[in-house]
Amino acid sequence: MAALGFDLKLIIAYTINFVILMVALRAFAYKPIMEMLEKRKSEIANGLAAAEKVREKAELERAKFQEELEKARRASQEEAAKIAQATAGMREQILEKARQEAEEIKAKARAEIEAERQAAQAEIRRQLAELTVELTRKMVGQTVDEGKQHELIGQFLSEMGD
Amino acid sequence: MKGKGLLYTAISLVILVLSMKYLKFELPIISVSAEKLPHMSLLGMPITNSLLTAWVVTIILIVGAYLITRDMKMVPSGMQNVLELFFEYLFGVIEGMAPSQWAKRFVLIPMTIFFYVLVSNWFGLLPGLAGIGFCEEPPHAETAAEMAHPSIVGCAEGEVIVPLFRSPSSDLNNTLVLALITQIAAQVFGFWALGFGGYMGKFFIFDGILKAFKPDEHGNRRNGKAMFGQLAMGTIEMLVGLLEFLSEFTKVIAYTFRLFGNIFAGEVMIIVLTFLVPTFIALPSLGLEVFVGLVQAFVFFILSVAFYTLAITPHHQEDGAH
Repeated sequence: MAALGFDLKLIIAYTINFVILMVALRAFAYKPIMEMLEKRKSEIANGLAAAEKVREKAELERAKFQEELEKARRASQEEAAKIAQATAGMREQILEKARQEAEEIKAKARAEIEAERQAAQAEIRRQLAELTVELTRKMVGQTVDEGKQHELIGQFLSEMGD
Repeated sequence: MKGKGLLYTAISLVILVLSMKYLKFELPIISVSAEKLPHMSLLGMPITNSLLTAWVVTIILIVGAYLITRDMKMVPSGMQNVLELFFEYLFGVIEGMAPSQWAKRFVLIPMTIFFYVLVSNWFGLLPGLAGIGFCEEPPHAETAAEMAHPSIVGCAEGEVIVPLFRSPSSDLNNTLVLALITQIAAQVFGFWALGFGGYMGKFFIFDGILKAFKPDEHGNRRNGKAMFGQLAMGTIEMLVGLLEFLSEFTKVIAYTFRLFGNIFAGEVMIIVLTFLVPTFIALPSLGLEVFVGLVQAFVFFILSVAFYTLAITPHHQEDGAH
């Protein structure tokens, strides 16, 4: 044993040395590193969880937004349809009114024309009658009395009317 | 960065080659036991160069660990990164081998052994370290005659050099301490995990033999042939258990000499090569020894974890694993 250099004192010295090293490394290396690794692990886990939470929230928000958007779109569509319906009704009304007015104007115009035509006819007949009487008087050369004149005019007019 | 590295490598190589050519180092006596340093003792205990190196290594490790971990950052960089890398890798190995609740209890000894052995091994490889020391009269005359050549610059004629530093891994006292601590811890873990009876039951297995005298699974009495078979199996089991028990002691010896042999042989090879052949031929073997130093540290680490894991494994579970 001595030839190989075994020496109890040295063995004790090495043992003490190793134990000191173990205790020191535990305090200065393993414990802090272990704590750091744990800390980092939990930090990363927390970070990931937080990110997931944010993502979920964003997803929720997005869904909500989408829903609101859809609602708004639907509301605006309905509004547009209502307006379109209303305008269509109004257009119809206006057109109807315009048509009626046009009809009225047309009828009125027709009536006026008719009245004027009749007035003109009456006038023409009267003037023709007077002209005829005048002509006849001149041709006959006699004075037709007032009574006869009227009678002749009436007769002529009735003939004309036929 | 790359250019700078190349430049440094080239300069170091030139210095190394020149120093090997013009500086003459003494070939130390190759001694299995660590050399006692002259005029140095502590409480009546002679201080050997390996013990001195062990203290230096211990101080390097403690101061290094303190400096690296005193201000740890959440985002690691530099040496903190390197240390964490080693630690995480080794802890991963432990977690891979041992049950998770035991992994943290196992960390202390194997991890310390790894760092201690690694730095010890590498410290012994520092070039030129073998040339620093004390000149002494050689202990034996015939050694002096052998040592007269090569030409000596550092020491007077007829004297030999006692190196100041020598890797603790090439001192059997140190490797024995590591082996004993590992083995004692393995026994402690074994008793802790399995209890006294459970742990002892791994080595002293008499169930097999006793079973031969009991009825079989169906409650029938065994006939002579069945009884003999069971008796033979039981005896084999008992002998295997006793061998296991013996191996708990032989492990210490194997453990002690494995590290010593590897590192001591490596150092002797480098010293001899340096004196026999040009430096550049010795260089690859230096690289090889750096690698061997790392591998041996890792082997020791993994062996201790394996011993602990085996120690906490109950007997029947061990059978199931085979």
